[in-house]
Amino acid sequence: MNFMIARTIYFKEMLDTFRDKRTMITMLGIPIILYPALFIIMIQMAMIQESKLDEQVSKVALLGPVSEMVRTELEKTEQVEFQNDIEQPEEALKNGDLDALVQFESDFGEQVNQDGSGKITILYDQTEPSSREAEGRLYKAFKGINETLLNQRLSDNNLPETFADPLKVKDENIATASKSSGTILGAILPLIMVVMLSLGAFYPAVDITAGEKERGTFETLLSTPATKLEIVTGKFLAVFTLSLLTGFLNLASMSITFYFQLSQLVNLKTAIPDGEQLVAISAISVVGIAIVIIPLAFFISAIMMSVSVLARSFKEAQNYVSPLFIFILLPVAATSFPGIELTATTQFIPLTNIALLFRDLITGDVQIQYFFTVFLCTCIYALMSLVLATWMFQREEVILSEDKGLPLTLDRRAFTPSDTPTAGTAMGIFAVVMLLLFYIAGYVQGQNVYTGLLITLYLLIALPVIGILKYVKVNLKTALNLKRFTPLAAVGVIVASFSWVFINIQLGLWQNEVLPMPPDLTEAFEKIFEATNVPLLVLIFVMAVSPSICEELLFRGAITSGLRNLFSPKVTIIIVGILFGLFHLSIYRFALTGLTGIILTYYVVRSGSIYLAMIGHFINNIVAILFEKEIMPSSFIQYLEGIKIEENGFPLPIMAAAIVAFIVGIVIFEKSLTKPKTDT
Amino acid sequence: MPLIQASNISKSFLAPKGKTVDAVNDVSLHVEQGEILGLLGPNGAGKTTFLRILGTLISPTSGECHLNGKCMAEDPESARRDIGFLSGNTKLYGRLTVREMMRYFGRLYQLDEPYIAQRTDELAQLLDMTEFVDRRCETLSTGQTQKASIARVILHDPKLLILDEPTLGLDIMTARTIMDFIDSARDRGHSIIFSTHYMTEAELLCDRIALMHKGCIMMTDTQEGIYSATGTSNLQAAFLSMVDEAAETSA
Repeated sequence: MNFMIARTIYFKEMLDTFRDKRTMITMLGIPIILYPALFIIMIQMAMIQESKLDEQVSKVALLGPVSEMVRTELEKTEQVEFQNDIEQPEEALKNGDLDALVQFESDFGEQVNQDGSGKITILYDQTEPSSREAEGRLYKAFKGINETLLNQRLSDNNLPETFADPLKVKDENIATASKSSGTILGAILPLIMVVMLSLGAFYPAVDITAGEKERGTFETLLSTPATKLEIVTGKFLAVFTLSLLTGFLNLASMSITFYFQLSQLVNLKTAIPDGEQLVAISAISVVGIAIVIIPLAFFISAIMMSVSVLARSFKEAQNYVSPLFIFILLPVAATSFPGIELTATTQFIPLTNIALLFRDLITGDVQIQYFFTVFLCTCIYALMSLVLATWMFQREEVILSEDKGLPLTLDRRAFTPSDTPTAGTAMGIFAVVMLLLFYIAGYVQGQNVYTGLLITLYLLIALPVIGILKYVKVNLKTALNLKRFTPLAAVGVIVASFSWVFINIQLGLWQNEVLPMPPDLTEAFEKIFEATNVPLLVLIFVMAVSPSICEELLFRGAITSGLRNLFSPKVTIIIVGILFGLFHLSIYRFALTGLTGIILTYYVVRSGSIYLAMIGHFINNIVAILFEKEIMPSSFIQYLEGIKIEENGFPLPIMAAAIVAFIVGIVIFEKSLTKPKTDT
Repeated sequence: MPLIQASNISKSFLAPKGKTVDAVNDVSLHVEQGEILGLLGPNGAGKTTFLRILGTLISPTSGECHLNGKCMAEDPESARRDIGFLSGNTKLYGRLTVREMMRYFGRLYQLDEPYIAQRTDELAQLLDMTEFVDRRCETLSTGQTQKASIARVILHDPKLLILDEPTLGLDIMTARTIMDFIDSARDRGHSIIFSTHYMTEAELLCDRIALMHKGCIMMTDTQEGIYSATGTSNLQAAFLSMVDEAAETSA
């Protein structure tokens, strides 16, 4: 791929969009000017209404016998005017001529005087703000009178004030004002954010795909030397930039409006303790939100593009994309249901997970493991949607569609036979496998860890890899790098892999100092090996043989050969390594498995044989099993105990020997690749 | 060696209910250097599909195309550098000026910036576009738009021009601009393949003519060759006679 061409397309699309008044007004004008304006008007009206009510005098009529004392006390109430000459008071209340009625029972005076309870009913209209205000004022006044009368009775009977309060219950809210407001904000902000990002992506996505088709410029673009991948990259980056730009601009405008306007409103009602801010999100949370917004915008932009490219006109694309909004907003809105928290299950649900993470970030109550998983999941979903968009652009029937209806087919006849999968297909396979792992692997491994692992490896990893490659008519032998290797290459890989185990353990110990693995995770990991009733051979088959076959088919087979179509060997090795690290779904294992993945991919990219990676993978896993089960010469175990490896790591000479052996292994491997010179 | 050689090109599309439609059926054609080949046929004959295959916009279901002896499917991007593709449907970016659009396409063809600027000025002079070269394409008249489209097509000085019904829906004056351009392009050594269903255009311009019907080429020859083979004196009569003959044969 030529990035200069993608860049040219990107800048052209940006210029084109900035010159489109319709898109600019909808994308920037409405959210930036209209929403804050509406919000300001709304808040100002609420404040005006609030102060109007405060100033308004409540008109109240008293019905029935009221004692002089109560009347005198009531008349002291501020902003309340008592009207005694109303003929039909209940009608007057209904008409709004009165704000409230106070009905005293016929024996009210007697009851009050004889230590009974004088019954009072306040009649008001809940739907009328002025009536609600009057009820509030009267209730407060009666509460005061009640206290005066009670104190009078207690003193008449020589009883202490505490007599009437056997229990003194006091509740204290420990949440700071910022946390309380953060909870409210946490419920609103994710929704606003997703809406804004979607709105930002909506018009550019439609305009530069379906709009371009409608204007007849797509064919012109396709006739240039730009590849479809370059076109989709340039266009996608433009949609992504505009989505992020709109998202951030809106967030900023909303925050400013929200902060100034809402704080005014809240300050009227609640006293905020000195030195405390109404909305205080920590800098780390802001960075966290910004980090997660990027794959979110990526995800939304790619979905919007994938859908709108199906349409042949702007109008048609709007018809397709509008329902998509509901599908995007629904999982976000669902987070406002009570009891929905970021858990082991919800962390995988697209959009719901990110909304929950936003909430936790705002309230400052986030766990690093969840942050990592949600970020990772969103990246994967983003990647999947980009793969989808790229795939759409590769389809002639989508790009040059003239027929009506959705011009899309997964019909096997539409695929032409090939030796390797495209990078898009390879990433599609990765995405499918990751989804299967998210939704099924956890469950089956929860039922029985060993059977679950076998199901995961063979049915959820190997089977989809082979199935999808067969379906899209890719030659399995070439796509999966099923090529023979020389004995010398195998010797090199074996030497390098054994020594890598030592280096890997040492790196793991160093990593544990920086990023300690939580004890429950370590325990869960060790538990797998501790099952005493499982024969060693079964353990080796499940934990060493099967992963080195199935995982290799995916990573060093389909993904490596697919990415090699797009990237140089070096870049492919790094990307596959990173994907292998991500595949292990844990921040604590990412770096080490990623490095191992890089080495395994290197063997395959250099030699073209997946079997060497399988050998390397097998050695890595079997040594781990032998270490955990302590199946080693007793002298070696004693040695390890002696040096206190978990605390001190390997001694320098051992590490040096491991590194030298690793280099020797790699040299042997490289040597095996050079073709022997033939005598002429 | 012909500039472009298409051999046994077929293209099928998937239609609803799992059916397939053969838009192009075993078509072989070649265009020599400096030659104008006219592709004639009614609507739905498969002309656009065939020309899109030649332009590498879509790939054939079977068959191969060679440009300058190189298989186009092996490196379609490189093949496109030698091709200028223009159809009645290809439009310009309304929100860009003509100059900006030329710069954009120049960059996509990876031409040098100074060359793009110089070539734009040259073409503005040649096609009488100096007045509107800095105006946005959305403000141009139909004639001006066609001139700008032509400038876009020949910006990278392609060896082969593929023109798919370039005069479709144009008024006589604007159509003449296109016709004059095709004629002058041949004089400058470009090879041209253009499709039309206006027989008179083909009679005026083409060195050779291919008659296409229902996805097949019925005949490729010079005008005189076609007239003598069909016993007619104009292309329309020749075409109709061949269609009738094909219908009788299939019956």
